[in-house]
This record gives sequence, structure tokens and C-alpha cells, in this order.
Amino acid sequence: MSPWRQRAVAAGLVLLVAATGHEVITGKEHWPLSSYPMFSRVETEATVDRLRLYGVTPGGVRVELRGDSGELAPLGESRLRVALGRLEGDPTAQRCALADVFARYEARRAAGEHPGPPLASLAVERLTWRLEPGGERPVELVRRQAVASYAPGTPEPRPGRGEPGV
Amino acid sequence: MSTATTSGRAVGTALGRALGRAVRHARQGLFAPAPARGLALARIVFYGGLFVLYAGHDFRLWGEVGPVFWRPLWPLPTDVPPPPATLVAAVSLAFKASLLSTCLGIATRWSAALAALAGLFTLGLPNQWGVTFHTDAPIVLLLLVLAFARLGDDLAFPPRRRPRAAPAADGEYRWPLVAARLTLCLVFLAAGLSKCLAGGWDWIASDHLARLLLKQQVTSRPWLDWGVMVAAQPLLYHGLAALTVAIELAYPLALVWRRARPLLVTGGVLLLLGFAALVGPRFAALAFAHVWWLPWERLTAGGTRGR
Repeated sequence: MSPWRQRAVAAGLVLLVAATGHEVITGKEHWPLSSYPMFSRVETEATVDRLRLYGVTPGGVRVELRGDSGELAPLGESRLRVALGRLEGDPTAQRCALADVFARYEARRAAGEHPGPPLASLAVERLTWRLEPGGERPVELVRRQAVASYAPGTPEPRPGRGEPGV
Repeated sequence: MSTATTSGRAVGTALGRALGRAVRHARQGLFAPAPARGLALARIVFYGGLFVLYAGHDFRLWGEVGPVFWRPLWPLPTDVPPPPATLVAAVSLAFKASLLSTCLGIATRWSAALAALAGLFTLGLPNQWGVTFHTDAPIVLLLLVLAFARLGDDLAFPPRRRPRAAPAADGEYRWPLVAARLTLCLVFLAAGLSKCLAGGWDWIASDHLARLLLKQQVTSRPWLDWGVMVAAQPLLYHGLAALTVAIELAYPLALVWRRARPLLVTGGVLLLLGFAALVGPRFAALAFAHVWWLPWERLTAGGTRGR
């Protein structure tokens, strides 16, 4: 192995170490470099809330869509949840996003790529749980709030109201 | 004054010697001759395993997602449009094909380079929709590092008609093994340091892990629902939190402390399995990448143990 190639390899590895160190110190991310910060912030909140997506069948049955059978592919539940949360202040964009999810769900269902039922509409809700480590009910759903809905061919929905005490 | 100057010089000399020893040791560890067979076998296992892991993943679907979700991250400019479906389909196919051809040793140097570039695109694409996942980032780093290695000097396909003698042992066949292990060390060390910097002692001493485990039960999909049970046992969740940080911070010692290597590397893999079981994220490819810790450099062409 030639000396110049040894120096090039060593320099490349030093660069990799330094770049990772930079990510850790600054807390920034330049994918694929990362400080791998997931779960590093200390959890102190007594509650946690998340957006959940539901499908409503033509018969009115609500089905929770969590992407387990590929029905939300390729986004999956967590990416979709974050995207819908980001679009919350923009009903038009949110409706556009739900229309995209609905169209892909139905197209893939028709092609036999997931086993979900046919849907008439989608609904997004914000669910809030109370966390009490060591308590009698350590995880308790305390709030369910309608956030958005989508049905093909209907006008833009209004934001929903909170319904405390599920 | 003169005594202080003399002792200062002595300290400087000692530090210089220690640094020189460290550099010599690092150079020896990186570039000591190793047989080509070991690296070739590692190549077959790693790239073949990645091919199996990603073969069933339909990356083409990313070309069908609506632009309303598009949110490009560094290094892409914010106004760049999402890639067309045909490009996504072509590059993801090239990624899978290059993993397989690198595994088989077909035009290995070009295949490995293509796997790195196509992998950067294909595995990076899912992060351009608003959420950065960290499950595949180490794999892309590994592919980029290995693209510069001579992976195909042995066990290449098709075999040469007039086979030459097996390639002589060389530093070219050792540094990729060390570089892959170093990459894995950086992942664990960065994760451990992030916890120390962002959470500090509270990451272990507070009820953080209990809250996290409870939260993940309703917001994620862990394999097991044991999070509720663990969250009710302070001794258990404080112990698991301490163990997590300890494993992540100590993992890089596996690079230099050969006796502790099996324990540290096994601990790292168990930690990844623990994340999937109790917290949710699946680091399947990263867990599989631990094959780089196998003692490939001790394998010779004849199957006996080398240096």
C-alpha cells in the first residue's frame, strides 16, 4: 500500500471523526452524518399528544390507519403525523395532503397491495394521553380532538372543536 | 525559573513521545498487512446481507408521493422539486443491483462506488419528506467509506481464466475493516454523547426513561408492551438508562481493547434489539452491520488463521 494512499485513508478517517464531532457539539444534522439525538432530550411532560389518522368506510365504520399493513406506504405513520402537524395552520395544504394519502390508499388497495377496506373519507384527530409512571393507570387517554377530515368531492372542512373527557 | 523550563520541556518531550507512539500504534492497527480473503468474505456477507434487507423494499413509491409533503433537507436547496418517479425507480434499481454485483465481485470497484452513490440517493430520499430517520444513515456512511476499498481483489466473479497467485497480504485489506468498525463506533459514541449533552445526569436519574417507555407505547410500535411494566420499576428503568449510556460511551473501546470487544459489541447489538423491543425504532441494517466486527483479518486464503 503506497504511502500517499495511507495518508489519504488516514485523512479521510480523521475527517469522518471530526465531522461527527462537529455534529455532536453543534447538535446539527448533515445527513448521513448525525449526532443521533433521538430520545436524548429528557422527558418531563405529564401528557403526550399525537395526531392519528382514521379511515371511514362507506358503512361508517372507523378504522385506525397506522401503516402496519402498508396502507400508508411509503410515508408510514410517523412521517405522515409530522407532515400533517406541520400543515395544521394551512387547511388547503392539509386537505391536499389528505387527498394524496386517500388517492394512494385507494389505488394500492385496488391493486391488492394492502388488505385495508375501501374508504369513503379520512379523519385526523389529536389524541392526548396522561403519563403517570408507577400510577394505577400509567397511560390514560384524556382528550380526543377532531383536527381535519377529507372526503373526495366535498368542500374544505372547518377545523374541529375539542371534546375533552373521552 | 530554569527548573520550571526544564520540567516543561520534559513534559513536552513525554507528550511528544506518547503522541508518536499513538500514531505508530494507529498506523499499525490500520495498515498492517492482512489477507485479501478476509476482506472479500466480509464484502460478500455485508453486501449480500444488505441486498437481502433492501430487496423487498419498494423505494419506487417515493416517486408517487405528492409534492405537498416534500421538504428537502441539506444539501438539497429548498426549492428543488421532488425527483420524478422514473428517476426514483431507476436509481433504486441500480442501488439493489449494485449491492448484488458488489457481493458477487462483478466489477467490484465500480459496483461499490455505484452502491454508495445510489444508496446515498435511495436511502436519503425518505428523509426529504419532513422527518429525518437515523436507521439507514450509518449504512450510507459505511457504503461511502467502503467505496474506496479494494474489495474485489479476491473471490471476484467471473474467476480469471489464468488465476494468478492469491494477492499478497497488504494494508489495503485491513484498513476497510478498521474503518467500518470506526464508523460503527462513531454512531454509538455520538448517541451516548448526545444523551449526556442534552439530558445530562437527568437522563439516568430522573424518571425520563419511564415516561419515554410509556409514551412510546401509544406513539410508536415497539415489539413488546413491556414498557408499562418497566416504567413501574424505578430500579429497573434507572438501571436500563445507565446501561444504555454506558454501552454507547464504552462501545468505541472495542476498537482498541480486543478482550472486551465481544462484550461491547454484543452489548451494542442487544441495545439495538432493546430499542426495537421497548422503544420502537428498528435498526435492522445497523445491527446487521456488526458483521464487520468478526475477525475477518485472521482468515487467510487457505482458511488458516493469519496474523
